[in-house]
Amino acid sequence: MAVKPTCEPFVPTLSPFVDGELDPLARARVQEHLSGCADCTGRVADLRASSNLVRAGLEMAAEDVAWDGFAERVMAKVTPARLPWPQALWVSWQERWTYQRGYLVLAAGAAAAAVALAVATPARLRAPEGYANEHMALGTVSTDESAHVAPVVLETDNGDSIIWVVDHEHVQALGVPDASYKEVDSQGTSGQNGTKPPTGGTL
Amino acid sequence: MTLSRVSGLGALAFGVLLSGAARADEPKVEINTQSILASNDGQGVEPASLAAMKDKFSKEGFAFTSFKELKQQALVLAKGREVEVKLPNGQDVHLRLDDVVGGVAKIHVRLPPIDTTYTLGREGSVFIDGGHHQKGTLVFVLSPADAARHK
Repeated sequence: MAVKPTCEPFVPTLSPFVDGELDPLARARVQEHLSGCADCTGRVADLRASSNLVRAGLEMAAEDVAWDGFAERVMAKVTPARLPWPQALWVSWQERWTYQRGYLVLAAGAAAAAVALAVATPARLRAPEGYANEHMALGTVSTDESAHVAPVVLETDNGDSIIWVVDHEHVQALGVPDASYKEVDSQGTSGQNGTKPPTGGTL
Repeated sequence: MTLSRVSGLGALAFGVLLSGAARADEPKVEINTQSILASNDGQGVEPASLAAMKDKFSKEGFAFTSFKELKQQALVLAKGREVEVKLPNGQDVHLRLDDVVGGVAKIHVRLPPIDTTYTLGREGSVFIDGGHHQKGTLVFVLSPADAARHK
């Protein structure tokens, strides 16, 4: 079909017109031309038919394509080859040092503290501090002079100590000099100095 | 939070932990204390573990028939720092760690009018006359810390 001179400016715009790619002004001019040009109206009809045909063909072709695993296949092609682990580690470290330096410093501090605690803890667990001796032992015993009392120290069969307070008068009645109660070592208890042990409720 | 602030906080936390570790080097000992009411008011022994104490007292001539635990307290003594324990009868017991020499702790206990010193051991107990209370006599008991007993 020969193109009329009046149609020449519009023929190149017909395909974009059909595809909706023209700006409003150009589209209005084409529509105005189409209203008075049977040839171009026919061309537009042909273009629309072709476009519909292509679309239908693509849709039919797409239905035949197996889309399962499509995304994975695409990603496999765009993912770079895996780096050797030392290099991957170095890259990872560099990225973290660049973007998370503060957290790394904090984590390093916490790790150092954990190590310090780990070193200190077993030492504490081995034996509680201060308990190197097998048995508790009495050192010295004394009483306030103004209280007019004296301590009586008794040692049980298994080495426990009982420290009891008695009045001076009671002690004198037992025949033990007051001075012996000022300091008593764990072995020489006053209860073993020939005195009778006190009786509960009667002291 | 800026990077420098985070770093500063990290350094601060590290410092606090280090100072805590330094404090852990100061001599400290743990001990158990009990306040037992020994009396002739009934036959009760509570808890049952006090039966051993009753037996010891009986062998030493104390005729108490009832032993009841009124208070139990685990204490941590630090060198030179006095710890006060109030007995149920209002008496105050003052305990202090004098020193730890060769792994042996020497402690000072003042339960007026009694002043005593001990070296701690993994076994044994010390029973101190704590004065009158209700219908009986309070006994202040000093024992090794639980952790020490099983070593």
